[in-house]
Amino acid sequence: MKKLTMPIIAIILSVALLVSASAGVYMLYFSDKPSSEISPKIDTTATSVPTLSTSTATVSPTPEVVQEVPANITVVDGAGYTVTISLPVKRIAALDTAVVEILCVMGLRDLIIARCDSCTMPPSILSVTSVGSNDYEPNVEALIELNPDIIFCSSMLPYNEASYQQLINAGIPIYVVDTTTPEPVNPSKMTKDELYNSPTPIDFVCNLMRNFTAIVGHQDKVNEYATWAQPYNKLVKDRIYALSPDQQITVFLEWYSYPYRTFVTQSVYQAGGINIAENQTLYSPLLSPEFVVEQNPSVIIEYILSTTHDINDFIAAKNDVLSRNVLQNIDAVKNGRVYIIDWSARDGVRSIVGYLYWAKWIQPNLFADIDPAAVNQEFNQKFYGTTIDGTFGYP
Amino acid sequence: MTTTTADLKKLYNKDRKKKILVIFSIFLALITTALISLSLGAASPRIGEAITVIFYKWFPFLHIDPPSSLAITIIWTIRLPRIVMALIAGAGLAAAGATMQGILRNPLVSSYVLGISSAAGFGAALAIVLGVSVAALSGYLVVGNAFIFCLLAMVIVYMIARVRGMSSESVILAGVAVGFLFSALISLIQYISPTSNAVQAIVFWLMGGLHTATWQNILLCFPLVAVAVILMVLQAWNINVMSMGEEVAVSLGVNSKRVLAINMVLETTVTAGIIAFTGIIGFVDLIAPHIARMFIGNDYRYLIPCSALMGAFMLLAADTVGRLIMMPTEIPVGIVTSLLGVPFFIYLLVRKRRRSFN
Repeated sequence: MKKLTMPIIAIILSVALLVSASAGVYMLYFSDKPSSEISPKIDTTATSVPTLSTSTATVSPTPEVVQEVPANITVVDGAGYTVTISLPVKRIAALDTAVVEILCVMGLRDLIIARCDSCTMPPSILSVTSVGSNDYEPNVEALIELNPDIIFCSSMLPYNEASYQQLINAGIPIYVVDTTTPEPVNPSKMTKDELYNSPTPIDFVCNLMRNFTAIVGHQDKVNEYATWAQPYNKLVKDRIYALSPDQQITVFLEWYSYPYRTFVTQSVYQAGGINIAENQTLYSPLLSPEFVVEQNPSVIIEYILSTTHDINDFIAAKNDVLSRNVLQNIDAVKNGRVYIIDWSARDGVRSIVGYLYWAKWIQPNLFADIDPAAVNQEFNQKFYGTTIDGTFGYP
Repeated sequence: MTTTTADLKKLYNKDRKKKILVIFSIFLALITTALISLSLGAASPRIGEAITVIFYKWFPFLHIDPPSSLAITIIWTIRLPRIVMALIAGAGLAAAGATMQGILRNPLVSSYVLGISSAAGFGAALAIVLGVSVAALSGYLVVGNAFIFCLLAMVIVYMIARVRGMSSESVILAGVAVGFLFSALISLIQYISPTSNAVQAIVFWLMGGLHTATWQNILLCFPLVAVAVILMVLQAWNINVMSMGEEVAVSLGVNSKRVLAINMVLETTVTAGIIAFTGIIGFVDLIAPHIARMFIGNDYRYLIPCSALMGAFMLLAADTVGRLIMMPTEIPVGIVTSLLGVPFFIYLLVRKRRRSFN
């Protein structure tokens, strides 16, 4: 028996390592696909599903005026869960960065009573109680104590099944929002008209906001936002539509701090570029550096996650790419066409700013008259009533 | 029938020749793998261009027509440093693993068990989070910190073990404890990290990999690893004696505590010198010595070089497969090493029925 001990231990250890490695492969290449692709529960179209059923109650603001509003509403959220919410909603826990900004643009800042550390825009949100670093692991006790009428979160929270279930059991409705913009399928094979008519991030967020109105009202604010953002959206679409195929240039997208890890997002096409990773089947593959060098992208766009929006972080990110030995001979580095975009400028209400940055970086001649930073300040001024110091795209 | 000295000598020479043949075979496999690795990749340059680039760079007096700048970048800046780093890292880690498994008479000893990997991870994480910015990744702040914390872990393990009489058990237990401590500190630092980019950078570093290899890194890493591995080979007799047990070692006049301390320093230096540049690469230092042992037995004069070659072969083969199997997407080397190495190891374990360790 003693003779068998070592081989048995070794086999157990080996099998454990094999399982770990397999799990690693799974996590690396499958688990970080957009939630809509990995979970059967997630349905990106579900956010646009209208109210399934409502019951009504009579609310009398004054004895003279009688207005009927639903006492509760049942909807299907972005993860495909059916959620029943008591109306009117007066206390909101908003745990996702993009959702917080959407709600603030809809004029609901004063109803938000809980956020996460990662939610830092607009700055007025910083005075709201934080219930954790992110919405994957919120402090359940603190949330229950705050007793919100509804929790708006990203698709991260349902992955933490224990916390999600505890909150549901506490009687708090959770509305999962998938803010990831659906991508055009095979844009390289699309006709110009098909590409023109495919939704951009701004189309998506306007649609998302309209769905929110069933729960929180404020349709007028949504209209106001769409009226402001859509002309910019159309401007980019129109100018890209006029572009000939030979004017499209190659673009390499990369996660800053994770060299050569890219995205197979096709929205590069909508900004007049060609993603060098467009033919990859994984959503966020780790590309071979030699492939990147051989593709010789004309533009590199780095994604950064910035909660402080400190310009020094953006400058450091750009210098990091420019100083890489391997990239010295590619056009993007030789011509200094390396740009840094904050993730928050690609999702949610600020996505019009990100869209303009991309278009200007990829097709500078077409968008010489556009200043995305100025549009960003215009957005801040119009919807938050103030200018905000902070960088979202650089340079 | 009595066995004469001449018979024993003949038997010894035969066994010696067999071991040298095994080592030579692994060396040939390694060279073949290196050539394949040099020839293939996501970019177009193949073996002909690769050899031209190498001759152009190494023998400028031959006045070879300059290859394209693309070929130079692909071969000289990306592919070749990566191959060389795989050879150095694999050899160093496996030699260190073999040495410590022998000294501590424990087949499960690796840089993980001795707490060195976790300490390196913590050092790197600390540098990433507290560094001036994540751009420090491009400098040597992370590398230096990882290296220093490896040495610090070794000092802590040594001091704890010394209190308990410097036995192999006390070294292993102290190593496990220190490893858990640094693992907890890594988790803590990730948890309280102020930026998502820093967390991302820590995860990336902990996964390890060879694509960060540069000639500058190799120039810093190679002398350290080469000297330490040579010193390990010079310690082979002492390790042979130590692997028979502390009592035998003492009876043969070997100062076991001193040998243990020397080899701890050598093993830590090699491991720290490698993983500070590559990030954590596990498994090679654990498995490569076992595979080598199955081929040539427990004589550390042959086992250390054989393990080094086997480690280099394993890591290079794994990295090459990781580069090629889904081109141009890469699979990190740590994942491939386990996926390929584990079935091979189990096969050898089942096929070779005799116990290979001791």
